[in-house]
Amino acid sequence: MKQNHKKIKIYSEALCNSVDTFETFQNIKVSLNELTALSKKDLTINTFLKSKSVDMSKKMDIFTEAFKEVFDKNLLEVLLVMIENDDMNLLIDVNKSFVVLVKEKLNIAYVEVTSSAEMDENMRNQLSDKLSDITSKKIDINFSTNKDLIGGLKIKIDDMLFDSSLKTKLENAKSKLIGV
Amino acid sequence: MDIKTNQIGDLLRDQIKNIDDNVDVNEVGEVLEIGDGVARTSGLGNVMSSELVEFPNNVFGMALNLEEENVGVVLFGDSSLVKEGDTVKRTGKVVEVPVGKELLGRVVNPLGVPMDGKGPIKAKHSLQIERKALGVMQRFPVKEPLQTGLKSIDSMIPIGRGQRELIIGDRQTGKSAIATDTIINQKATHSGDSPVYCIYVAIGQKASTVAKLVGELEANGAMEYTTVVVANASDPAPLQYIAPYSGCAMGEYYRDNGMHGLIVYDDLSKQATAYRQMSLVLRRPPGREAFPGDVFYLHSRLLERSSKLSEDLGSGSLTALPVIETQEGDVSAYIPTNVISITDGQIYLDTNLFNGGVRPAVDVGLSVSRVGGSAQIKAMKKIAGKLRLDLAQFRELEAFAKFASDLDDATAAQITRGRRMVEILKQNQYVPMSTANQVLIIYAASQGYLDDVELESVKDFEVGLLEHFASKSPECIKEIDDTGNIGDDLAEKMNKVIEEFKKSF
Repeated sequence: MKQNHKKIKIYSEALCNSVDTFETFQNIKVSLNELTALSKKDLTINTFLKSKSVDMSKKMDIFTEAFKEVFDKNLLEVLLVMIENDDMNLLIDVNKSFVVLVKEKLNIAYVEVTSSAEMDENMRNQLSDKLSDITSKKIDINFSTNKDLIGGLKIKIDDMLFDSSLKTKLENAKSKLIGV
Repeated sequence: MDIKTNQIGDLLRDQIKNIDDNVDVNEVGEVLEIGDGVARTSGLGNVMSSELVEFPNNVFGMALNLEEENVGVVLFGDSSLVKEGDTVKRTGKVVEVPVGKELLGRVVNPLGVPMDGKGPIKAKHSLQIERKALGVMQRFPVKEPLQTGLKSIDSMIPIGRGQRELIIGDRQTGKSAIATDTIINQKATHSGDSPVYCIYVAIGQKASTVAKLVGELEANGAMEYTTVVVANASDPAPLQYIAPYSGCAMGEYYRDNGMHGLIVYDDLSKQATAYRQMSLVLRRPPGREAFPGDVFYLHSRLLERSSKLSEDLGSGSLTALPVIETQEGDVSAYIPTNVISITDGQIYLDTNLFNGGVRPAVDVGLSVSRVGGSAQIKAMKKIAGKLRLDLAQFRELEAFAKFASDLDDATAAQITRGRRMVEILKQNQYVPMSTANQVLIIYAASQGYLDDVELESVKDFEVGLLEHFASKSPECIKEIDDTGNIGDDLAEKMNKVIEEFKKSF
């Protein structure tokens, strides 16, 4: 367990050191998310990487050939080291740790916005700019919809949740009225 | 009552107007995994140890393991209502419970939520369940008696206000009965100037057993000054773990406000078992009997909170009667030895005595009260010394008497006296006895007035004698109550009354 923590730290720090701009971060993060999703969805990659019958150098060549066009060069290098050490099972944790480290390094706030109805591009941009101003940080923003909210917004900035949804207001009102 | 529809509408509108419609701001985390009543969560970077956190579906938990990567939270509710990925909110509050006289007569769970269907508790104060025990300078030696109403205890193992006296014994030996009788006996204090408020903490017991106990307390008028804190056997382990601390916080309110409290923890073995379960699920390293390393501290920090306060702090007190269940009479097991070493004495209940009809089944040889002696009234102290000696000699000789058919007169007399002493110390449940009556009957026995009374008639003699005193010379009872002593004149008077009664018996 402790050994894994050490490895996760080393890989995520290596990735973090290769990130200088918000754009590179976004690029690597998206790539890592896609690779994670892909390996979850399709077991072929995992089976191939774990196969004993395929030579390690061949594995690395095939992997490089498959992803060199889409992945950042530094990311690819770290992934190859992980393949060589048979550590691809740590990918999810490396991704999480990497995001935490880069957020601190580049002063980025991770924001999740949940609304009851779909927001148009203009509204999204306005909200993003406003949040960036308020937090004085670069914003890594994700939008989603949830009809259960009835109205209003739920904005999660890192670990802080700002909930102005109608659903929560009604629930609060209910608990106050019945005196719980 | 005639209420118009528009009036209801107006009322609701008024209420809604007053509701704060600000944005709800909370620090949140995410549930990484959940199982066995424990959730591991990410986020919650600023959460405090023992802080209350809120999961969806109104399930609450307490943050216990604050680790680098995640936070281990024990759940107070149904863990099946929480799933992986759920949001968990900080409340910013360390677990606290309502305290005060508003809780008297109520049955609550360890979070202070009423369980008796008598409506919400409108307590004005609340206290954190985990509080630091007071230091040396804030304390005062135990000097005032806390009467249990049980002859065998009040005479030989006296308890003082602020003392921690352990009740220990196997299952079905009458441990809870002693605690209940002590609570019932506090009724007498409520007609005086220093009433004792009681808290009964039921941990890991069957709901039916607790319901029966509450019924008995109600029937005896003891619920008026008692709060029952319940964490049943079916409740999650974390609730059973915090129950004693919650009860203690309720008791500390009385202590800190210059009043007197009595708290019964029934029982701490089950609390230790619940804590062991939690610790193992939280992956804390197991030690002896698989208990975690801090199981001693679990009980010591709880029992240290019971104390007698100094005059500067109002002279309040909190007396604790923790209960421990032993297996096959093994007092050298881990938890019993721990609690024995923490408390100021123990009342040991013996299975053989219980089965032999000696109830309460107090083993006088193994029981001790380390500080209660100084709290005993003079009258009781005078007669108790002789009682202890008579019983000790009796126990020694009784073993020999089983093998010898011929006994010399002195030995036979001692055995006769001992048998009668044992007989008068027997007492039925829910009938605690006043101190004066205890003094009278023990005095009569220790002076040898019962030696020629048939063993089967001792109970009748006791009842008759006490009635005789009450009707013919109530001044003796009053003098014992007032002075707490037996002077030469009073002793002479008592001898006369007893002799007079014996003639008519």
